[in-house]
Amino acid sequence: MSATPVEFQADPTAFAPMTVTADASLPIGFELEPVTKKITLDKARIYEGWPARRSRHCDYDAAHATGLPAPNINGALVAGVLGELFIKFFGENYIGGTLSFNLTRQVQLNDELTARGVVKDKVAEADGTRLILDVWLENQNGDKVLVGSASGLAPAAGAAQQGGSPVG
Amino acid sequence: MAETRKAEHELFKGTKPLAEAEIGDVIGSIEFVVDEDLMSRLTWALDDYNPWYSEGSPFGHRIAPPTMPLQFDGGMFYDYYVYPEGGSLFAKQEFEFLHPVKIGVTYKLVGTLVDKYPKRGRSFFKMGVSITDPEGVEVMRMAKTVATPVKPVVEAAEGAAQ
Repeated sequence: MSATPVEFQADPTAFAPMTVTADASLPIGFELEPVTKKITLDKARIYEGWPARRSRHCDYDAAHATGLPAPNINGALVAGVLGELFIKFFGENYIGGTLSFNLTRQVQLNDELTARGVVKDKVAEADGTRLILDVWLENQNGDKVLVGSASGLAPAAGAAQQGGSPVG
Repeated sequence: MAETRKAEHELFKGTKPLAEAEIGDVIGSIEFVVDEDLMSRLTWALDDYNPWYSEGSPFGHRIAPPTMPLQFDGGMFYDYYVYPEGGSLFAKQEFEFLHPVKIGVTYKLVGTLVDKYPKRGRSFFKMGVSITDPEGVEVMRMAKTVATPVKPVVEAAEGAAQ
């Protein structure tokens, strides 16, 4: 009797660098590879430190005391999804960069957020080319929950770095 | 008899009414450390297992995710100002990244009121934040804007932020 070979499955949460990162040659209008994350109750509780910390973002009693029907997601956690897009795209050059946004809609439990960005402008600076991005997060219905902008210096064409590649 | 649970905003310690807020108010100062527990919680919550956070980075050390300091300035505003009756919204955020935030290092975060204005039935209050390392080098600048009330009331907001 022969053993059935095991089909090893890939870790769906494994870190994956962006295929194309910040580069001075990227054209205006270039769309960044999106980052998608689902924010569950478990994730919200892990972030908040529940049960030691019972905020309206992770605890039903606390949410009810604030008049909310259920916990809504902390804007700081929401911002983390955009932060991942930002550092993956700019790599080391997130230092010297900027990020700003408006929170435009509440994020609810189990919302699936997708961070997106598009190159809006390119500005020549003494140290290189600064890429100016429009960035936003949208939920599973396509509603924008966060809109903003980001910037960072981009290396010359061909010298692009990867935001988060393992180091030796 | 069990004590009724307090709403989160009832736990804030702020004593200065927002109506008396003045640009230049020093809202608070705290020290923080991005420790292993916090890193584990944040990376797990976001499923963001960037090796720069767990193994090492081109900066020569592990770093914290860029937006991590939002963990620390959130409660500061309403530990200084009285939480408003109409509730409060996290409306806007700005970051300027000057140096990476390292794991295990003690940083100082100082918040100051830098702007206030009425808009579309709400009052907006902008807290500028500076984060410095133990040598006094500024590593990040941030600005957090909160808005009140949750449900816009034109007449109320026009006065509060002026």
